[in-house]
Amino acid sequence: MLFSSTTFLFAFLSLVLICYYAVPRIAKNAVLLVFSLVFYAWGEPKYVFLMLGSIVVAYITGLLCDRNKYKSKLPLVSMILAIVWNMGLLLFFKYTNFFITNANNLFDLNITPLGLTLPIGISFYSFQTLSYVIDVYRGEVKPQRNFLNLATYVTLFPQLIAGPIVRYQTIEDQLGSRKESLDKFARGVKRFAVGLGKKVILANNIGALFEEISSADQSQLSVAGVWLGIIAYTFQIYFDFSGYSDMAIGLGKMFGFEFLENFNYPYVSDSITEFWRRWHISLSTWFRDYVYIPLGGNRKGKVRQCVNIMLVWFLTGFWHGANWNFMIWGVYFGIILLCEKLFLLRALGKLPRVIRHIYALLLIVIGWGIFAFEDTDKLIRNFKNMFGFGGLPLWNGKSDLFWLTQNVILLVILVIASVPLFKKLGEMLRTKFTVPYGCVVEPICTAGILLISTAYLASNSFNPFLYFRF
Amino acid sequence: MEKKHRRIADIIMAAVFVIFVFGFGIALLVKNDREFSEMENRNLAKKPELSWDNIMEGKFTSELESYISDQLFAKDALVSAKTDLDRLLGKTYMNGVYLIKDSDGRLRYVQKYTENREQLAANAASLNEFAEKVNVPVDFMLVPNVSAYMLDKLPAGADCDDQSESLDYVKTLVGDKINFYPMLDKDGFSENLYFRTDHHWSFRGAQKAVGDYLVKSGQISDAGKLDIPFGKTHEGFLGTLYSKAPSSFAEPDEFEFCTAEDAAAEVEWVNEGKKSDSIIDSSFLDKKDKYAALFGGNFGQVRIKTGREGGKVLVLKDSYANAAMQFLMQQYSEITMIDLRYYHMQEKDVSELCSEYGVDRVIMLYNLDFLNEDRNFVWLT
Repeated sequence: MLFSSTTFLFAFLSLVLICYYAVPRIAKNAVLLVFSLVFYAWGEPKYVFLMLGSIVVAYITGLLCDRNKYKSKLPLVSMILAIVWNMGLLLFFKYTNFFITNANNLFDLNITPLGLTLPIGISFYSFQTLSYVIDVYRGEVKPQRNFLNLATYVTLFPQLIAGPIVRYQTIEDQLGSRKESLDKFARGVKRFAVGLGKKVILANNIGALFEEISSADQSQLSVAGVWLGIIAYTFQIYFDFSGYSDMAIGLGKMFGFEFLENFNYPYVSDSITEFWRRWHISLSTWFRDYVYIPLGGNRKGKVRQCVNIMLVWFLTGFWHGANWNFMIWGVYFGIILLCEKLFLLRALGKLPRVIRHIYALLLIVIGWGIFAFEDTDKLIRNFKNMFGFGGLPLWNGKSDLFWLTQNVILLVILVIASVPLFKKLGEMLRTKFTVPYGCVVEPICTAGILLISTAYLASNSFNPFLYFRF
Repeated sequence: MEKKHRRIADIIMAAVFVIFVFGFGIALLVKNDREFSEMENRNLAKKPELSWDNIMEGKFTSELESYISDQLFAKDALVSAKTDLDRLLGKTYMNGVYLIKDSDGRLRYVQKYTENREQLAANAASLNEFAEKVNVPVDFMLVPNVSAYMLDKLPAGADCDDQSESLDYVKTLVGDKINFYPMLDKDGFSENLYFRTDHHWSFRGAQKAVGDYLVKSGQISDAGKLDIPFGKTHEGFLGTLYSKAPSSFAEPDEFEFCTAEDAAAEVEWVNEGKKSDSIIDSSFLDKKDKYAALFGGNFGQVRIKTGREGGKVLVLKDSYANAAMQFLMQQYSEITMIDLRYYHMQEKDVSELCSEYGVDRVIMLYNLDFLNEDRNFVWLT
């Protein structure tokens, strides 16, 4: 089920809220678990059992990982088992077909690809259960003895299918004892409305432009048109994904949870290093804590550090999908980050800020140009076109003018929404006009966003979620 | 912020959300389900059946989703709000339709036209082949759509082809057997002869075109006899283009038509076995699609005995021709209308019908968009 659907808003969510607040504390996690399972099973019921299997594995290995209790090799073996199970599932469901097709191509084989659909959210929940077991092994958290609590953590529907990757240590205490409050609920509502609006009003709208440009006859485009398409995608993926994270965080608050932030205005960055501190934070910190640092991080010399960085970014790319373009995308950022670490950041520091922003944005947009095309031929053609090797004119007058004039207001709104302007404005208004802002302006804006989003959902002509396949 | 005030603000915010989520949810439960949406011209989803089998097959969830989105409270109002929000964002092109202001400053829906030379050539070839088979005069009235008159008002860079070029192209395609009457007269015609919210022309457009045709083809010397009074006007006509992007700012068209009661001696829907003395099916006047009041829509074969003096004609037609029929009826004694979309694999082909009915003229009456897209002309040959 999608958050941005009338079924979720007016049937599912209203039912969860009633049940959750009607039952006593002791049953609240059970309510969340049951509804989360329904939420997960909505489109494809059979993979619920796979997820339940993962929870059982995490529960048992988690208990056995406790090095304070077991002084033998048992904790290590358990942790390795958990890693094997989770990575095995990921490899099997997400990557087998990729390996088969490429082996077929490379070695002229004829292996039939498996007809598997990717279990929704598997990339997210595998990482979450794994982080739990590893943290237990490291002694950073205590093993969760209450199966219900652990199951609630893994299945928690706000973050189940598209993140953020909520680490067990973040909500360890909240699982057992959290406090729902009116204040948290109200903040949750605001956050959810912002996320819904980002997704439904902004991302879908500009996504339609990208869709139109990328499905147009590419030989009729111009260099400007190709760039407009990629810029549209740049906005779409940010508002789509960060909107989803906002909704998840907002929903969490409604049920008393506090998740960590996942985005922090990534497009204001003036270097790629900064960009990755602001983009999909839960993923990059996961890779930092469970891959980069265990590999030795920067503690084993410069060469080793470079290898580690490249490895982490290759994996980050590959995590996004079983496709060459995602790997290239990861390696692309790995190389840039490496350069920045070694010399570029120092050099950039001497340049004016405007130039640094242009530098970062250009590399980010080019990155999305890699990310957007899973079909390698399309990817190559798009790159040729972007850099003027596709034989396209710089500007074709007709369709460029049409796309631009039809979307110019939207693009201005997107630019403004990509910087913390509204946030700062809100903070200023809140301090200056506390009561009218809190009691009138904010509720009206929130209601407006909810209703406008519903209007867009009602006409529902264009509502695909981008971050679903991962 | 003072604690009390913050609490009030929180209560308001929570209330907004609770009213929003539960308001739509409860409305869904208590309001009566609509069976049919005139706006979308389709049957709406019904409540899904809750059974184990349905759940296991995944049918229940998908049916529930369509039920909720179809039966959403105030759906039509929300959808038009969406159109106007898009317009606020500066979008003037949605779902294949341009929403632009016409010279009177009123909102007008203009359908995008993309020339398809292959289809035009194929259809013209079918018409030519047919014309060779019949030994009576064959006239071809080809009517442009409203975009032909509004190219200069379309949004910047709009990719809408110029219909006058297509008319010129078709002119090169029609054979000697066909007398071609392209109905593009920029002096006499204007966007005002078309509906603002529908893809058809109005009665006045049809009246003007039929008059021009009859005069140019030498069948009458002036179009005075077509000057029949426009009797009834039904207001509030929001047509098919409106449904593609409904805006609250759209002004409904007036659906005006001539008093038809005494117009025909007999109208026969041949395949349906239905007869009437009027070409107007007034039951449609109270519905959304008022244009369908003409003949009740489109049918394979309709025969009209007008009760007037004049020749017998066979009209190969689309829905534009329905509005023209009133005026052709002033000229001929008998009219046979053939709509190739519904005249397939019949006992007799159209040329056989011509000899059986003893028609002394064939009129092809099509709008350009139809000739450009329809694939049923092959049924002629």
